[in-house]
Amino acid sequence: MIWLRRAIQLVITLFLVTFLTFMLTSLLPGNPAYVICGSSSTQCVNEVTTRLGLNHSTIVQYWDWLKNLLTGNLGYSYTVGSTGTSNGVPISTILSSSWQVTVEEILYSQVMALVVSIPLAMWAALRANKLFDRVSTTVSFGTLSLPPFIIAPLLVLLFTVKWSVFPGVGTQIPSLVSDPAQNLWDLTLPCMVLALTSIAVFQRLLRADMITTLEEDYIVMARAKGLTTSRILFRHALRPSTFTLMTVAGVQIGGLITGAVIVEYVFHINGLGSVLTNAVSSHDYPVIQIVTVIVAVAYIVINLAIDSLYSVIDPRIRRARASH
Amino acid sequence: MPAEDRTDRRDFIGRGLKGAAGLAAAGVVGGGLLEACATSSTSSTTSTAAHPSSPYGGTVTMGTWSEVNSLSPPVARWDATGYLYANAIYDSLVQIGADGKAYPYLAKSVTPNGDFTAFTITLRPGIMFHDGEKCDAKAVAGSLNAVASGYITHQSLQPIKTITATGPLTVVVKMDQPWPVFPAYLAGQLGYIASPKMLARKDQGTVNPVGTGPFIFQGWSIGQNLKVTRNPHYWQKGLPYLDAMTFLPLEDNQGREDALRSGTVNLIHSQYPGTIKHFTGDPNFKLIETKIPPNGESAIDFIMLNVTKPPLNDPNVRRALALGLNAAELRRVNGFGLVEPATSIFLPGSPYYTPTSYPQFDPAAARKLVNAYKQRHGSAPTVELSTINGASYQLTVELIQQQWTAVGINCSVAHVDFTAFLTNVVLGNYEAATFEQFGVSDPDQNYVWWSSTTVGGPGQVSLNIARNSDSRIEQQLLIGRHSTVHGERLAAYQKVSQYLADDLPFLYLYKTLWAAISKPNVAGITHQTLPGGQQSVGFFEGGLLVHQLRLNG
Repeated sequence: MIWLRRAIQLVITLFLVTFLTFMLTSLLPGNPAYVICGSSSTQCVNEVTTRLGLNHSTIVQYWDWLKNLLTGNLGYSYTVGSTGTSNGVPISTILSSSWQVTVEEILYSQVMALVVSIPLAMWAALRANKLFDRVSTTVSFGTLSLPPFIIAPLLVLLFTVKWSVFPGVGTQIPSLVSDPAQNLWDLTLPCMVLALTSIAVFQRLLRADMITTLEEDYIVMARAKGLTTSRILFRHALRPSTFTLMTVAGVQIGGLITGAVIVEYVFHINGLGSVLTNAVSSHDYPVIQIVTVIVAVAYIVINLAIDSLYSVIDPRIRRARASH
Repeated sequence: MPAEDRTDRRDFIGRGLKGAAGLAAAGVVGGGLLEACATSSTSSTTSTAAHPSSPYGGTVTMGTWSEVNSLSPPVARWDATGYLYANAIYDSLVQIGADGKAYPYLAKSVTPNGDFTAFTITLRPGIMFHDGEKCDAKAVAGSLNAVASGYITHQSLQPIKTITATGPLTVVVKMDQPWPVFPAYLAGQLGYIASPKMLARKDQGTVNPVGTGPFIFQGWSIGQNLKVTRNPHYWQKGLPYLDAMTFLPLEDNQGREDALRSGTVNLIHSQYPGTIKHFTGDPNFKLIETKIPPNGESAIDFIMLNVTKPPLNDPNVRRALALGLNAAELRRVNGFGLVEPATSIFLPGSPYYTPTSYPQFDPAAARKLVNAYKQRHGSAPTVELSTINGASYQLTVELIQQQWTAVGINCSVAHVDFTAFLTNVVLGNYEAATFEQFGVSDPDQNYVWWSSTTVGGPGQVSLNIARNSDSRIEQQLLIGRHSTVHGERLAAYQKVSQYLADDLPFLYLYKTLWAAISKPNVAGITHQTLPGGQQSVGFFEGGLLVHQLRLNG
């Protein structure tokens, strides 16, 4: 029953997101027919307008677009490969490899962030208000205040130009399937940029929750029983302290997509962020609409998954849901 | 090793009008009169002078300043990047030599009739497209017709009446007027010959091009890379030297610079004075600045004024803007010490250059004109200055805004993304706009931008983007187009220069600078040898022939 309700919510949300996106992009100034024809021929503009259905009302255009989307037809680019007489490159072709790159960037950066932030947070919580905690707090705030478009060029300068540790901007990154080691190595620096902000956020949140958890009676009991600190931290304290962390991790997806736009621009990576940037600057409305739908779907599905993880982490939630 | 040009001059980037640059480049590498075009090479598959000391093999990865919308000559709006791609995959019928003259390239000869209203193009036998089709007269005529009737390209090729294959290796192009400079247009987008099979496809090869060029198209991930591999059956025997090339569009200037320094690419081109400054004097890199052929013109950074829009339809307002513009300050602030001034459509060093009455910076005189306007109209003139997005452009327009405000003009600034900017200016939905244009190898190739015949009505497309309709300019442009007498052409274009200074549709800022920067082992960037033994124009306005690129050592 819960799943059915969630599924209905998903459908309604997606409908609203696609509708709003379509309407908003239709309000953007400029005529796509002029973009395609290079503003050079009235005849071309008229033909393209008719072929693309731009002479129909926005509601009709939206309905046609939605029907195509539901049948798997993502449409065609207005600007990439588009001529006065033929449609542009299918959007599915444009996105075929880019969405995988961005998913990998986000996952890799979040794994990086969790691997770094969890130990830091646990140690800071254990040493609350001591030197390590204060230093890590200061560094966190400093990192949070540095946006990706500052961090990225700085890391590029240091690690690719000055020290040649990582491959430079524009390196052709092999796929994860064809060369996983090289793929991960090439993506390390771009994902580090995305991870830095997440590390700071995760570390702060988990630290706060861990401090609260470590004051619980059962932790005192565990200590009294003589359990080691590491066992107490990892076995008893970490799990109940992760709810906020998980919630924020899910909400952050939207921010990571934005961060990916900057990272992909600076590092010249062909991901969804690059595709979106190019589409916005060239008024490629169909691509903008599809990428927005993808981001919305990803956002909803991920948060749905995180929601489900609560019951895995905390049996009490599982039992409470089961009783409903 | 080709000579290197390193100057301490500098220029401000203007991204300019990519699409218009593509149109202008229906002649961007043009120039020279017909005397050169009547010559021909003697062999069909030509042995170009090899460089036995240089190794074959290797890959050059080049970082480019932009991406293009299409790889198909009839459809594309090519800028410097487009021509790099085109020179890899296609061949043009004609190429421009270092002396500015047009020499047969893919064509064996281009011969005019007595009054330059018809040109006979004789082809080399035995040349094949990459897909196995013959590059014969039918294919060439089909390709030329496709470009001449293309949505975007046809407007700069209006004098062409017919293009006909009259024999297996002969194509005749007929004009409705004498056009001696026409062969130079065969060095531009018109002259890049595409396979008939490719043109027959619905997209006309937009993303899957087939030519006769030194490299065969392998793949294009738009916005990411274009890959080409060596054509083993290339008609210029012994060429190309490289196994492959990859082009990476790296629009961000800093990113392109970092890519070269980190080794991701081994060759870039750049207009940005900052980049050129950073590499000037760096022993770890080679820097070559653009070569302007003797008859050619450099691109110029300028402010375009829409002379049909109030208050810019008032010549005194335009004059006030010119008098209030301190181009020297702009060069100092933006130009990194490398900028050369421009006070005319032709620059010193050009045979067409002549001093004109173009107003020099004089804020007092500007204020007088502004005050007179105020008295007539009750308030100061208000002008919107548009530019594309980017930090360097923002700096320029804000500086200009300050200068104009100082003389009493109300100036607002608008930043627009490039595509919208292009649409706006061509439709006349602008007042003043930053621009970079007019880099050609013969002034006739700027005809479409200055002619009264290409001025559109309100809300209509106008390739004469300033919408400056001046019958005096039109008359002189036609003399320059039709005449083969050097002195007559000189006089005509000098008059054009003066009339433009009178009308003031353009407010000149400085000469645009292009440079190719590479690792030291990359050779063949310039001074390529053409099939007839002449030297090519080399690196010109961001473009170069790529078939003689090689990696030394």
